[in-house]
Amino acid sequence: MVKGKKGILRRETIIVDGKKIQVDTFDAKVILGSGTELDSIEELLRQEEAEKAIQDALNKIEAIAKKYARKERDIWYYYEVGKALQFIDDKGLTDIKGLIWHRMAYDRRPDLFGGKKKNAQESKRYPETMYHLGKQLGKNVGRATFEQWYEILKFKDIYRDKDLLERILKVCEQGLSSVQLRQKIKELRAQKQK
Amino acid sequence: MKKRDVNLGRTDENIADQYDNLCEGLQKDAGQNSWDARLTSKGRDWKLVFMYHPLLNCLTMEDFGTCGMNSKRWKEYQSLWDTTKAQETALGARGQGKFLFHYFARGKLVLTESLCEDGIYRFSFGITEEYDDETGKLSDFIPSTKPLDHQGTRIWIMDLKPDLRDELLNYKEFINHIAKTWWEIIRNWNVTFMVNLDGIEREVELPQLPAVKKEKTYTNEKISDLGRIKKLELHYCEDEVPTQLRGIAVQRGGMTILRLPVSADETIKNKIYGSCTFDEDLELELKKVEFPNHFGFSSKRAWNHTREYIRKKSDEFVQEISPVKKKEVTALPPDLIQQAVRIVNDLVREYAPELATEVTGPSGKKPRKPEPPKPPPPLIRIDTFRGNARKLEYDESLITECELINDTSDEAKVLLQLEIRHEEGDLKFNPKYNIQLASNTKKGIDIPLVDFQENVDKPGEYKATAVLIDSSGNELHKRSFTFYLHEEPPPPKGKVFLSTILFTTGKNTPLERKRQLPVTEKGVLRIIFDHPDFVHVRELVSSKKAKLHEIFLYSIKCGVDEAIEKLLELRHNEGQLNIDEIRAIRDKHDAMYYDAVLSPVT
Repeated sequence: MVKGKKGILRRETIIVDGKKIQVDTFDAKVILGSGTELDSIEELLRQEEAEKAIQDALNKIEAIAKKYARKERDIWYYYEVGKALQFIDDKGLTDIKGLIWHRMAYDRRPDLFGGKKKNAQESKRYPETMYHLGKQLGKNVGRATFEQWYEILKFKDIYRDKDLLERILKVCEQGLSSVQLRQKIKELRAQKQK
Repeated sequence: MKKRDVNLGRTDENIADQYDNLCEGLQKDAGQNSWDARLTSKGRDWKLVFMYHPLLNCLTMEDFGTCGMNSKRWKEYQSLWDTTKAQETALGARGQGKFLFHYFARGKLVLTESLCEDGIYRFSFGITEEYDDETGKLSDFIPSTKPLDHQGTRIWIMDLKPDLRDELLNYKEFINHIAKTWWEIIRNWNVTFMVNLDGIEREVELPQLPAVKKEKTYTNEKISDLGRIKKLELHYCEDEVPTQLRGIAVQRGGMTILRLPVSADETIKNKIYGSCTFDEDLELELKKVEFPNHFGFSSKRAWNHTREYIRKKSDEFVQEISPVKKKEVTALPPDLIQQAVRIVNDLVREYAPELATEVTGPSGKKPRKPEPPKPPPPLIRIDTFRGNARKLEYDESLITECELINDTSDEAKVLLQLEIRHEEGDLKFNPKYNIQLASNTKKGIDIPLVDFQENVDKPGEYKATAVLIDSSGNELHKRSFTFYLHEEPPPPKGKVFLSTILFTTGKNTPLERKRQLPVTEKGVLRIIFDHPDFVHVRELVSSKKAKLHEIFLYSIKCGVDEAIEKLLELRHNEGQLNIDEIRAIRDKHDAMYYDAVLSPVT
């Protein structure tokens, strides 16, 4: 049984022969004498599996990106990528989802996820939204812009309530800005809870 | 109390993970089931036939000269982890081997036919979770085949997985597995194993052994209060022994459980083979600590004492044969991981304490002041004094390795006093040895195993101390080590050479061609994860257990290489790097590799 916090392969800068180089290092580390050496190696193998899954998904997303000349502005690009990101569920990696977004959108291919962001936390938002968008019905996807979906999906599990989602999407069709939409969702949700 | 729900859907995979080589495991499990069911004790007319049917893509295992399964045996066969047999001297113990059969089948389907002494024919079909022995018949699955028509059992593994089928169809390898495992009953009782995997029926024959140059036999030797060694045979041959028969076969009920390698130079080791059998009492004790896959024993008292006896006798045998000094190796480690970790750091402590950085173990604190240089070791001293494990459980044994050195040109008479004491003061063990040390020699001291029993020995910290005293009563040297009984030891403290191993990818970076980076001042070793050599090591093994083991060994080898490199640099900087020093360092390097890689995991 692997114990402790789970990790992933990450980018870091190290100094070799006086030169700074960027390398990818697994979070799993073997601390000799700790008594958990084999657990750490088991975790290492899990991280290797996750990295392979990430690589496979990136290959698929790269192929998807080639179909979209203006991918940053195309909701269907985000939707299709979201479908590819469902490997998280298929491979039981939901517990390290955030780390995987970091790896994909910050370390490996920020160009496929809305471009390089200032920090890793910010870069995770794109794949997270895409991942949830990928769970939506195709017929609903075009009813809101990416920015609007971004706002909707910030509300955890809101899309599971079909009735509420329908009302939100109707509002979106009126062309509300992000701030306005956020406010509106709060109101609709409050009404629903009453 | 409610019955727990059990999900057996992946049991076969979990069980398969226990085997390093699945085909070897398959023949072993099939063989032991059939041999347990033999009609006569010496297996008259006993035969086991392995046959591959290409049109059906299935494997049958059919035995003859066996009792077949009556209702009781049938029920036992269909169960999992029925430990009834664990109390008997039969080879099987837990009934889990058949799950390996399911693992070989793509759809996990296994058919079983058996005809018992009463002439009752039984048939079942099943997967891991369930079986049916009421509604089906063989012709429902294989219309063209007649049911089993003789007393015995026939098992059909249906629709073999392609990778396992390919492995299985390497019939030479499969025959080797059988010969290596069942040589004793083939040789002594002339039983028959037939293998027909490619349309040609072949009888398993034992490989020719070279002429014996020297041999030794020990019989009826008592092993503590556990039972007796029935026979230990050691043979030294004129030429090399076939690879699969080298070492000392540890036998139980005619089956080879494992082969203990002999500690000797390659040229001698390759010419030695032997075997060890036990009386009923010791065999039963060993069965209790045998791994469920029948490929080894856990490091419990029965196995520790038996292994130490075999090791001691084989060491003596090698000493008699070898004109040169026996290769210096440490005791076979019961916990390879701990041993391997210790090896790297011990080497550095022992040979080049200067290499140990200010890094401490996981819970240790950084020393504030640099320690003063240590005085040179005494000329007559305790060179090695260590236990086999930092943590012991009840029913396990402490195996102590102890070597003395006399670096003077005179013979020395010394007294070695040992003491093992619990932290609360209780004395566990205190033997004394009067020893004559010839000039300029190193001598191993044979210290008996120390057993620990629940309700007798207190759990907690124990300290083992060795004191060397000269003929005038002066203390020459003292060494000690600590271990923990039935209690987690704290992480090691103090200076270490290596504390942490990290794994970094090297592709498309300047590290691409490196195996590892030098150990940092903080004791961190960075191994290149995608170096072809490391990738190869991981790909060589299929089971998860073996993979973890191989990765760890590779890591330790990288650590050893780094330690040796640092040691060479140090000696060079000190101007001491002459050819003898290089050879000495090289020998130690080889010995460490030998210990880490060749010693079996027990």
